[in-house]
Formats: sequence, structure tokens, C-alpha cells
Amino acid sequence: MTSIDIPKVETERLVLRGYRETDVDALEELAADPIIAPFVGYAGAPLREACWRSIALWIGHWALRGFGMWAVEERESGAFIGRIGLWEPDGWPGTEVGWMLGPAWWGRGYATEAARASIGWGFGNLEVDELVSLIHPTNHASQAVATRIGQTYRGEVPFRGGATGLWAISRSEWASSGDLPGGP
Amino acid sequence: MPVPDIPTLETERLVLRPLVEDDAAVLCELLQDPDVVRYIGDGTIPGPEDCWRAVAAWLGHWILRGYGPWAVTERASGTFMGRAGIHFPYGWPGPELAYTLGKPYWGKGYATEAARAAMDWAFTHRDFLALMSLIYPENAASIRVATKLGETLQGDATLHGKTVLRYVITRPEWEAMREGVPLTGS
Repeated sequence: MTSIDIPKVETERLVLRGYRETDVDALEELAADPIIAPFVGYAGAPLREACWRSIALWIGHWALRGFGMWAVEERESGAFIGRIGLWEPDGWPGTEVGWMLGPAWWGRGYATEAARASIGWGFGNLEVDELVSLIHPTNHASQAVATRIGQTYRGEVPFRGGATGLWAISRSEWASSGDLPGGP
Repeated sequence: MPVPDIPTLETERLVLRPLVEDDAAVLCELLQDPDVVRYIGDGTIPGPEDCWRAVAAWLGHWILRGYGPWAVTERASGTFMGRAGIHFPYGWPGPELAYTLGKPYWGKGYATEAARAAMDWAFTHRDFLALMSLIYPENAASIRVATKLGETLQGDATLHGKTVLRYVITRPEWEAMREGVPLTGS
């Protein structure tokens, strides 16, 4: 396997790392859940193929941009539980911090923990003024995460022929958010 | 962030080099021609965002598999003309020797030259038992390229719900061709 330097980021309970081919199996299990399925691209392809190609895309995003989505591993179990990180493919309305965890791992603050680590890494390594999140108006769970990581709602933005909610945290807001978990 | 370990291949008239971000827009322009996309995937003309993602996923393919597609450039001008290489995402019928060039670059033997370089690299540096090109039956130009490469028709496969022909070259056939030994019965 050809290598690429996806940096490893460790938090109290999670490891954010590059991908392994076995992550395809784990992602396929997660994506069998209809809540997670839309996060895996290549609609119409058989699920396993879609998962393989999505991971190839997530890796390739690192290659093209120098940042991207990490595989998120639960430190204690070593389980692959989702992908969280930074995302800005061509045409994206900003540098996004995005999170997707299997529902079995919800409710433990994992998304918040990994997203905060991603924000810290992003402001530490990239020349961006803000990190946005695109969150569907009915996705209340993600809106709660956005609030916990210090983002505020900025309004609706056009997205893929429709509209979605834009949340954001600026560099200065992040710098003064030391009281939040994983803060600077 | 460059992807390490993607080699650069040089032929008489071409350079096959790693894909870079700027290739996405050029590729997209070439793929706006219905004649070029007709026999690729489901034949849909891609938008710029699709092309960026395709280039990203191809680089990810290299990292997951250790091989993948190259950017095909004209040696003299440096012009990006298309892509060629080994395409084998999960679920594909087999490791494909794939080649796609923009229409302005057809009819010069460039596809054959690029695919041959990719094939030689693949058999030399990776342990493939065979490579195949998956070609829609009505794509006569691509069948000519496959034949020039030494591939022969070995049944068919299904891609995107359609039947494609499998033009295959095995490692022994490739070795024999390299040594200039005529193959018995072909």
C-alpha cells in the first residue's frame, strides 16, 4: 500500500487516524443504517462498493488538500466508529468540520470530542478564518454538537439545489473558547 | 500533499505522471464531449465537482491498492490529454487496463502508447496474473486499442447494468509478447 501522511490526532477517548482497508468492512456495517447511508456517496452502487469508493475519496481529499476526514477509532475498543474531520471538495461553500458516527456511539460526547480536536488541528495548521458546518434544519442532534463545539448559526445557504443550515466558528471565537472541552 | 510512490513513466511521445488537482478542470473539459463520455461509466457528462472527486478518488485508489490511473501528458507540450492506468475499485470485474483521452488526441496512437506503458509497469512491478479492458461492444476504437495491446476477447461482464466485453492479456501472454515469441494459436 502506498502511504500518505495523514496525521494522527489523539484525544482522551478517541484516536483520529488515516484509513486501513479493513475500515471498509466497518464502514459498511455503519452504512447499513439508513441514518448513516446518506453520508456514503456513490448512490446506486452496491453498498460495499460505495463504502470502498468513499474511503478512496476521503483519502484522496487529503492528497489534494492536505487536510481531510479522519477515521475515528474508539481508543478503548479499537473500533472504527465513523469519520470526522475537515472537508472542502471543489465547489464546497467553505472549509467544513464534519462528523459522522455510527448511532451506537452517539450520546457519549464522542462527536464533540473529535470535532473539537479537528477544529484545533484546522486552526493550528490551515490558514482559514472560520470553520463551517452544513447541518440540515431537522438534524437536531448535529445542531446540538455544533453548539457544544462553539459554533453559532449563521443562516441558510443554498446547497445542492436546495438549502441547508450554516453554522460556523471563527478563529477568534475558537481562541477564546478555552472553557470548552478540548479548547485551546 | 503529494501522494508518494506514484511513479512517472516516460514513453517516446508521452509522460504518465501522478494526477494533480489542476488536472480535474482539464479532464472535465475533455469530458464535456458526448463522444468521449459515451463509453465511460453510465455515459453521463460530469460537472466540475464530479471531476474533482474523481481525481481525489483515483489518488485514494493508489493508496488503497498500490496502483491506479496516471495523468497522460504529451511529452513535447506537457498538455494533459486524459488518464490511463489500472482501475480496480472494489466490486470491479477485475484489474482493468483503462484508457481515456480527450477527442483532440485521438487517432495518434497515444492511447495504445499510454496503456502499453501502464501495462508494462503493472506486470513488472505488481503481481497481476492478468489485466483486462472492459469495453462496450459498440466502442470500435477502444477494441482496436485493446487488440494492438495484445488483449483478446474473453467473454463479457456487467458494468452499470450493461454488458461489456472483456479483453484480457495474461502474464504469460505479456511475457511472450515482450520476448517477441509468437503465441501458439493466436
